[in-house]
Amino acid sequence: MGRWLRAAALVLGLAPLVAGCGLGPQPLPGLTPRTSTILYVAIGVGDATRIDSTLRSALGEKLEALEKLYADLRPGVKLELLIFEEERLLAEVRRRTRSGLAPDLILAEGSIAQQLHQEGLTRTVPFPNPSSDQLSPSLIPFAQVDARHLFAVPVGYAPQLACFDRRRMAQPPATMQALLTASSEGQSFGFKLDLGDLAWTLGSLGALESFTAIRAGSPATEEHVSRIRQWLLWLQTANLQQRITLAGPDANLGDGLLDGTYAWITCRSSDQTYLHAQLGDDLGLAPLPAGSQGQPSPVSVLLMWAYGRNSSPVQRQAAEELVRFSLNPPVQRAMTLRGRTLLPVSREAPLPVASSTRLAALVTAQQQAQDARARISQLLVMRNREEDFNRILIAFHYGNLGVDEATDALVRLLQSPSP
Amino acid sequence: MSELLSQIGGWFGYLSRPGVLVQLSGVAVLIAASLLASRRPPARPAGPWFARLGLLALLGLFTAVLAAVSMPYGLVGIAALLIGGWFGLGLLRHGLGRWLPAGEVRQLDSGLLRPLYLLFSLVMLIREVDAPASLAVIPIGTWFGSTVTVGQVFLSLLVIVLLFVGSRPPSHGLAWILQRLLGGGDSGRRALALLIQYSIIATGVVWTLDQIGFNRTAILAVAGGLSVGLGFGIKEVFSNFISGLWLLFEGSVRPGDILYIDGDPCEVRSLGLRAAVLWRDRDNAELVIPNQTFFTTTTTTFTGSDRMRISEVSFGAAYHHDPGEVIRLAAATAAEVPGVLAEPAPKVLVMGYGDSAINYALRFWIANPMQNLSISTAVRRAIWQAFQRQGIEIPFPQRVLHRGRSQPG
Repeated sequence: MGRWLRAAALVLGLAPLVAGCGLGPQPLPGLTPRTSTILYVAIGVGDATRIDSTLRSALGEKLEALEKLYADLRPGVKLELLIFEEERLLAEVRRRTRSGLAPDLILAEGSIAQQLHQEGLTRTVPFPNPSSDQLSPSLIPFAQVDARHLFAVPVGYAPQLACFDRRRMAQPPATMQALLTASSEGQSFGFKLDLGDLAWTLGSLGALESFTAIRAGSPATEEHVSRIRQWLLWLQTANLQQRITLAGPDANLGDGLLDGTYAWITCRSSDQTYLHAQLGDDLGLAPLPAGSQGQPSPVSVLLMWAYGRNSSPVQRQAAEELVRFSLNPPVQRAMTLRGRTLLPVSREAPLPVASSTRLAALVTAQQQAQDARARISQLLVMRNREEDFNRILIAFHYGNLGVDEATDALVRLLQSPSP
Repeated sequence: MSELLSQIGGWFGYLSRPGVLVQLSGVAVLIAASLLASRRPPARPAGPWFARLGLLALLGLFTAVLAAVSMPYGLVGIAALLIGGWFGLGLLRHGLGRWLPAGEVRQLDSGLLRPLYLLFSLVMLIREVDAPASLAVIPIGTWFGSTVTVGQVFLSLLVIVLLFVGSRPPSHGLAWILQRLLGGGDSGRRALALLIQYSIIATGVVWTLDQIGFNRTAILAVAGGLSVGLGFGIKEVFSNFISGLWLLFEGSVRPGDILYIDGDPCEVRSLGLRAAVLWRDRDNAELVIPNQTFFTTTTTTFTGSDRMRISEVSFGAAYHHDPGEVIRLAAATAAEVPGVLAEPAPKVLVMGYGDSAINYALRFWIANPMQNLSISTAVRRAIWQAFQRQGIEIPFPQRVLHRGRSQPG
């Protein structure tokens, strides 16, 4: 019994010592405390198969870079990386919050950050605060709970764009017609049969206005129906091409690019971490192709820092300071230049686009997304009907629905009230 | 490796959180109190079980209190679950004892169930403090050019342990089926089971290493290096291993065989990688004998071609009894003793004329060599009683002294 008691005493005795690392004297105003603490940072990635040594190493390096930059200002803060499958992120945070082991910071898409907040798994931050002062004012509504609180803090944009293998494709197609031509000349392309992933084609092919108009309650005029029909016909034409693959919504196009199945795919800028880790400088980035009807309308995901609920006072303070630090224009700029996966959300963080085609592609993609944001947001409201949209697209893809039937089905779905 | 150690070191950062400290302290105090209570002599035989149920109830109560005051409680719940599972293993062992022999249950419990449960508990705890998927991909070194990760090493060890421990039941099952199909004795079945088990382990280890991503060339290179090392460093171990396999193939020493070791019959209980374990009924001792011993020394077995043995009991009868009558009586008496085979019939031989008696040897066959001593004892008792009834004397050693005449002086 004696040894058990000794062990328990040791655990209980050591714990306050360890905990004491974070209980230093209160800092003077304007000065940061010099106490060591560990911050747990959770990141969600596409799916479990993507979690490998290369991705871990790449994400670890990015976090370490942020830690080193931050160390100049506030030494002693160590960042511990926790990588989860994106689909499991919510469940993991829920389970860990019950145990008191929730991450201090969660880097997640805006929609996931909102879900975390709605489930009470993250804490809000007062608004305005020093971090929010750094943000572009247009972003505040996306993170606001009410006039005085934010549920998370935006940290970067991840726009949709085209990723291609430079070894197999010297010049990516700039137009939809060039894309079809390139495929007939032997280049392989990969798309996903997923409305969110194909949303960019709505702009290029002129169907976005029709989608949003019908969704907004306008009558389905002949012109609107015709444009939707034209969009579906382009998809059908693309599908008939031997080297254009319309993969299922759960397909991993990135793996296809890595193993040589595709030379060009649609991707998100944040996918670059694992694609660049494998392809290196052979990974090319380009804006999505425009069409005869207009510019592409990609969706740009807003990534946010959400605060976990179980942090100690010292961890909480360090997390808030780190977030504020990560929004400083020089840091945003440095992180974008280093990783080239996220674009700054800071008011003033100019990027040297002239010297980097990749950066230029990212900025162009983000600009396209911002131009289409007002119209696309009408569709984003229907995010919870995405599976219904995808079912129609898949049925059309396999010929179960003809072009007219698919058009009617889409129009009816757009007209139906949101559940 | 440094990345892994750094990651493990990072787990302790959670101890700075009051919610975590409260949970861990509470669990530690409750476990310590339960251990103290279980040290007292139990008033009833079921006392320890009451103490265990009490601990689980207290952990449940503690969980409910923490949840009621909106504090984190998950760690206490996990502790209760894991401790409850550990107690459940005790119940399972108790239940298995009704169906399986005690030795089998002990081996299953300590060799498979408890280690697996400890492993499961470890994974559960790691899952709480870290993200297993990202932890598993931490590289800890290189193996002939291939990067080896934590997950690969963990999985390899797990599969290899499972192969060593878990391959036994299916091997015995398959050997049993083959025995039914092809015939053969029990010792042959056990030998076959051992061979199947070694084959499964060997194939499984190579397959596992290959599947997990270990370089095949590296495996072959290591095997080559090992064979050189075997020649020098561990040749005794390897010699014993090969001897064991050879004995199994040859069938000269198999589990269930009866061997004569230092004058005592012993039953071969198991034939391991390094040594054979024999059971000596005289004192219930288990002898661990290196396999190569059977190659370098003469082995006396009673179970080579059959399991019968000829036992011998010596006795004497007084000179005035007709040897023919003594022989008939002794043979008939032996035939009636349980354990003595009627066919071949017991045989009595006149061994010589001794100082006090005519010496006889009674030889009879028994079916179980391990019962030699007990059946021989029964035969001796039966002869004494039969001779007593028939008035046949078993004389004491006698010496007749003749006093010589004294010489005149």
